[in-house]
Amino acid sequence: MDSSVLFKGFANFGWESAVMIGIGIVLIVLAIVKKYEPMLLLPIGFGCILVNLPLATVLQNTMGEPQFLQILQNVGIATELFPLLIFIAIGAMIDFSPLLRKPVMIFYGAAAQFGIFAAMILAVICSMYLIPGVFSLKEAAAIGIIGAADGPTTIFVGNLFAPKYLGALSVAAYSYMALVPIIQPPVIRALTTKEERRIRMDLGKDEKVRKPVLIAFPIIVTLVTGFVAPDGVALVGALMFGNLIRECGVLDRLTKSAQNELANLVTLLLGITIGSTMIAKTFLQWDTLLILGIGFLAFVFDTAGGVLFAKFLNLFLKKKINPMIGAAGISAFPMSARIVQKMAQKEDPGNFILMPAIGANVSGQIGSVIAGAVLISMLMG
Amino acid sequence: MLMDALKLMGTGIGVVFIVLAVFFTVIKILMKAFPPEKGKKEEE
Repeated sequence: MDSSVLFKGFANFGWESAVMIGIGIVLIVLAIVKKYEPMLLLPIGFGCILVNLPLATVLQNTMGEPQFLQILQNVGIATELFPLLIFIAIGAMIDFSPLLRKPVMIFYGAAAQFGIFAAMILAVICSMYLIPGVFSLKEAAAIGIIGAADGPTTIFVGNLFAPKYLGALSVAAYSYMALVPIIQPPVIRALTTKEERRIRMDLGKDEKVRKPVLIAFPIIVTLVTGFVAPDGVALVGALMFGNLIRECGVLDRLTKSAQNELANLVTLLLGITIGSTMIAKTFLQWDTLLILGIGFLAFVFDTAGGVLFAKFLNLFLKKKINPMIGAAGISAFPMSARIVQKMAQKEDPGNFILMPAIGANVSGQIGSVIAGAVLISMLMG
Repeated sequence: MLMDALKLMGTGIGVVFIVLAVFFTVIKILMKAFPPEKGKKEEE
């Protein structure tokens, strides 16, 4: 019997792994203490710790056989299964009624996707002038998709175009989504005047959207996407399938399962699996810092794009829209709408713009998925 | 690569707006065909 093998971990541990374990602990602390996306950052942090332990035996044992996190990566991430299952759950949670009552809000959900493309351009510029050749166009697109402010879309596109950066992309997306209350307000304030932030909006009538509309909408969205961006239809299809089971009125049990059991189980596995892609050798690179920096700017560009688009539309509208609504067009639901409402009430305590903001926020969910689908179709084709 | 990225950006933003404009039209038609029930609150 050879007792020396019991301590071989010490011989296989470097400072890089120690740094990564530190990052994992920071993510766990942020999740618990600051409550930043705890459902994801905590499992990601723990997955990061596990995979950076000596010999990474949670991926492969010493015989070279795949272990549980490698199996989860193969089954859930490489096949894109986990993000799609999460989309079914999200679809089952979304109520499109605020958007259906005020359909013009859909354009704000489009404008706020500007950050995706601006960040992609920035990644390309960095790759040309800062660190030559660091990112390909597909990788730049995957970095840009952080600006979708939508975790599953980031994972889906990231896994297709930049699998080696999946850990960094996911951590950036989820961290900045949690930081939306800190990122958005200064950008909104910088681009709007006090008078603009005080604009009151028509809250719409107290009306119930009828069942045929709620049922037809997810089906039509899927059909249109299937023809325009066939390579990305899985994303939209999963989201709309979830929404259809919610709205059809005859699948209550499935809806509840999608909203609870499916969402919880897949989130649990998704987080720890994403964390297991954060291996020191690939994560501790200048590329990662660049991705985190560009990802942050993607959220800034999203917010600016939405606000500036709203201000542009106001040039032609008789009844002005509060331009802060544009910032709610990002996919981070419902944080973004709440921030806009809070800012509006800070300027004018009697100003209630939550419902139109939620309409824009829901549109942002559709807009980000469509943007992801379009990128996939254009770069895969 | 920058030109390719700019082309991708232009086309991407354009297509996203066009697709969402289609959805806008679809919603308008649906809401006209099945007008909302006035005065009723959302069921939750």
